Amino acid sequence: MERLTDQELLDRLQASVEQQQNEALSFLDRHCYKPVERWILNNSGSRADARDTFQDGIIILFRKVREPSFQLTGSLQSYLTSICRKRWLKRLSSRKVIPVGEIFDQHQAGTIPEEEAWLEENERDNLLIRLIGQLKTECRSILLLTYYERMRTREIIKIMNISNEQVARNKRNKCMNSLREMIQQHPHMKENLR
Amino acid sequence: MSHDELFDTLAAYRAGDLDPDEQAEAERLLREDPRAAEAWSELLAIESGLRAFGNRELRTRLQTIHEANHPTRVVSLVSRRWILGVSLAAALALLLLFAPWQTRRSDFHLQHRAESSPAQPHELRELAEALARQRPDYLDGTSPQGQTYLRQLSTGAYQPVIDALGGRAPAAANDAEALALGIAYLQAGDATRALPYLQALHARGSSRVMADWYLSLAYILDNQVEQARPLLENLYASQPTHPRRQAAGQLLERFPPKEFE
Repeated sequence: MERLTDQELLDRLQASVEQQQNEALSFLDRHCYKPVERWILNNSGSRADARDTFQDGIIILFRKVREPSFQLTGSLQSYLTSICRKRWLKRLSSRKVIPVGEIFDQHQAGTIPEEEAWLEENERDNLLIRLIGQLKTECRSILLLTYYERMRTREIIKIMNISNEQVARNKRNKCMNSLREMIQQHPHMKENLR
Repeated sequence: MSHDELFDTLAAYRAGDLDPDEQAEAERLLREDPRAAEAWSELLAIESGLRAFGNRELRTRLQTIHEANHPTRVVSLVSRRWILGVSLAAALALLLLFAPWQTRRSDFHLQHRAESSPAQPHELRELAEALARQRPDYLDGTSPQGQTYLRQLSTGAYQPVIDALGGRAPAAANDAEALALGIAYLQAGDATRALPYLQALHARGSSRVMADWYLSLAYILDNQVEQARPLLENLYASQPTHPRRQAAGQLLERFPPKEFE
């Protein structure tokens, strides 16, 4: 796979099949990582900073394009680069280092909406992650497809090979209740969720 | 409607499973019923956990893709050896002959640090200090009392923990107490006192996931950098979802070279 158009990239990123998603993610990694790395190295960052920032950028892009309201208005590669630059500028400003070309880049990055909340984690999330990891695989999948991937039930039944939407809803309720029971049994979590 | 019924309704609303009339009713409940707001915040908190879980899984995928796309220095060194052949082997033999002190760099350094700028020891310490001051994670399975200590430490209140537990000898402290004291002394800037508690945990094999992270910080701050290296490398290499994995990578990038052991 040498070259993908923006539409082909978008189709793959929005696909429900992981293999297709990976093709697009790999393409973006091959074509966008090095320019982002160079830019971060030239702006007071290390290679580790570049790797982390690029990974954050891809996650933001991936989540954004999978929103039902997403509309492609420009190049996905430019969009990813802008997200990464904005993210790095934000981290730099927290370190109080003034990067080269700051004024231009902040202006450019200012057109990127604020989706960084997707990347935020807190202590409660760390514990929830462990509890979610203890769910049965099928339960974890249906909850993630619904509340992380934001898929509709009609799409979920195809991916998970479930006979109909009502069965899927019942499964989801049961799985959500299992997770809530695990949370209720954890003293610290219980007080944090209410 | 009970709290659970409200929760189920709102979960279905969030999943997009309600018809227009039911949606309108759910939205009315959210506007008018304070108990619905409570159920909604519970749902959003769970959704936040699912998002964090999903992001971590996605990070693991991205890491695999990235490593496949951008082979590290290990690969390029191997390629060069093939290209340079005998001359490189001879150079290596000479190097080994005349420099018996030369040790192989760790895997992490071969993969990630070989092209980095020279290490700045004060930067390493500054970073470790900043990381030691970060709020600790709650540990699944930690006893209720251990959670109390960690809650205090998460607000930066290390002194009450030291006052309450400081008299415990490392061998006498249980796992939760040892971890709390280790973190408290680190937050207080006293790595020397933190070390025995964290070393005791390490030796017991208890709470290793987080204890080894703090132990590595204590070693760095106590000027025993080489003791920290294997702990961080192990964390970085074997625990892809560890909450401090990225920070461990950042620390390792700032490590001094290992040549002169």
